Amino acid sequence: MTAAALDAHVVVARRDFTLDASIRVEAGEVVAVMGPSGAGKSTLLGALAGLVRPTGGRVLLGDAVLDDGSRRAHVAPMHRGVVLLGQDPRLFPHLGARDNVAFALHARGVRGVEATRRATSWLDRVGLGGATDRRPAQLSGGQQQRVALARALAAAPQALLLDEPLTSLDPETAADIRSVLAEQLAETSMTTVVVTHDAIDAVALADRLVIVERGRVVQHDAVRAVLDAPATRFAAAIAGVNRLEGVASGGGWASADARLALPGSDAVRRPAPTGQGRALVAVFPPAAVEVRPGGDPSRDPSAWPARVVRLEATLGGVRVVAEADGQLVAAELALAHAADLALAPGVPVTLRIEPAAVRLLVS
Amino acid sequence: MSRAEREASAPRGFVPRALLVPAALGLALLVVPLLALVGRVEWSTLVADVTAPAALSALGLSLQTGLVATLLCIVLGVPIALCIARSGDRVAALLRAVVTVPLVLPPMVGGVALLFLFGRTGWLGPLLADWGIRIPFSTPAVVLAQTFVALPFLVLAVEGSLRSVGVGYEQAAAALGAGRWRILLRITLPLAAPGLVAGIILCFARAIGEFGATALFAGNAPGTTQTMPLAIYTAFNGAGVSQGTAVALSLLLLATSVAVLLLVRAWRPGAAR
Repeated sequence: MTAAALDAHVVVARRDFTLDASIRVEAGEVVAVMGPSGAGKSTLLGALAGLVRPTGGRVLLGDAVLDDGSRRAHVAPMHRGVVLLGQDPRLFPHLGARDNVAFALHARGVRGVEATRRATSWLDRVGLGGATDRRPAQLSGGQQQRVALARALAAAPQALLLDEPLTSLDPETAADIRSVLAEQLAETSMTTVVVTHDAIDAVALADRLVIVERGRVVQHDAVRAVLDAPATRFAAAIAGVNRLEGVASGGGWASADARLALPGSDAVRRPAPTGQGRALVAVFPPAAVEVRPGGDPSRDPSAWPARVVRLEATLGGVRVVAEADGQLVAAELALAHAADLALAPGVPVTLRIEPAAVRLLVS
Repeated sequence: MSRAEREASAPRGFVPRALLVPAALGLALLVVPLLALVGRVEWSTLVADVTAPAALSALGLSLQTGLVATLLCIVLGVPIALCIARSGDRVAALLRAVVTVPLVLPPMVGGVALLFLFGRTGWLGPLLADWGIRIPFSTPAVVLAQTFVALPFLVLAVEGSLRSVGVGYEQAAAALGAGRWRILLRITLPLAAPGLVAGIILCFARAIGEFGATALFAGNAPGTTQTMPLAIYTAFNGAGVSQGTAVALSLLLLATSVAVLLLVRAWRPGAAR
């Protein structure tokens, strides 16, 4: 394995959409890419894989220039040393599992018995020792994705691109494959870019997380740092936290029109000097939001009058999304508690945010 | 699911029952003449008829030219099919139309066209004559005429198959580092195999049945250009092989056609091989 650093600035200009994103992955590092649908994640991976020719920018893998926006510099997919593994495993239907893996070995010059031996050992590594002769049609979705992973790793790429590799699998199988992936990526020290819509993938597989929205990188940092301090509403949504924009106000936070406030206290974590009126973002988890019946907030300044917009089922509870002065706030309650409150869309409630759980960030 | 269950669950729709009458008449029109042909066969002399020198010569020539034409169709037709299948919609539609013309053209017209290209006063004829090559009314002319009429069958069958397989597997193979030839030979063609096999069989059947273009472009010389269909035609005009032989040869062509049909039907992609 000769993992190399990937250093890419990809520009793909289309009539109605422009992708202009930079991404750097150190040798052996795993970077997750997340973003809303249509943000350009798959186009980014397609460009890195050589299936989409960028109209500008520069793609470097190790010392090799794979693209610089010109036709002449474009390196064809088979010569890039990059393997793309997508949601569809795309196993060759006319070849058995072992022959699928052996195809990747043949392609790089490994011959005969040696190729067979190594293909078998790759299947062992992904936990498919017994299924070597079976055709893809005889394998389950999870098994197919295992074979596809073995095949991708057997090609010994310098970088591996994963495009939502777990999306088409049921949750249990996805969890299995996720741990196989984590294990193999660590073992092979593979330079990897993984596009996903599931924050669990980022947490389980990646060192860093890049958020792409409308063709631009809007945040890139360690996975933990992005989840702790999401820079956009989308990033907050994947982190499962509330993110409200406002301004600094009296040592605490207030919405732009000052109708919602989180008073400053020692419990609130905030950036060092926060001048009055400076743009400030309040981040807090749904579990830190208490829901009380009735829309009368009394005199507690951090209790907000709100109206229930919708209810969503979560594992063992209810997520209440309520609107407070035009901002959507999510709260998480136990199922029984929600039933006591007789919550339904349109019902007025009071939200109280636990100050110790609030983080204030400069936006 | 058993066959009976499958038939029971097949959608029946609501078609007027009266249409059964023309349908039955049409089927009779297709089948009864062939039965009449089989009825005329002199079974006692069948072996002798088929092995008569003139018949054997026509049979041998048909098989040889048919096989060579089929090979030629594979070598030329598979690349055409790849071009069409991997072009954009408009280019593909244009190329497909070009390929389809010989299919709908009366073969006689094809023969005339070939004559105007390779004939003594044609475009290529004089050039080839300078090299001492004369194609019309020779065995190569038979092969050319057969290739002309059979090529579209192969191209269209292979193209359809290639298109339905798509480029996804080729992309996957390229991403694994496989070169273009390896992708073609190990991935693309094996995946298109059903269309390829069907195309080759249809192509061969069309080649050995070819009459019109051959008659005009290659002539009817026993031993060099008189293939089975020409021998049959000549016999019924009272020359060449006997009529008994002609009937026997017809039966042979019929049997070949049925065999071809069964071969095409028997080919199932992905079946245990």
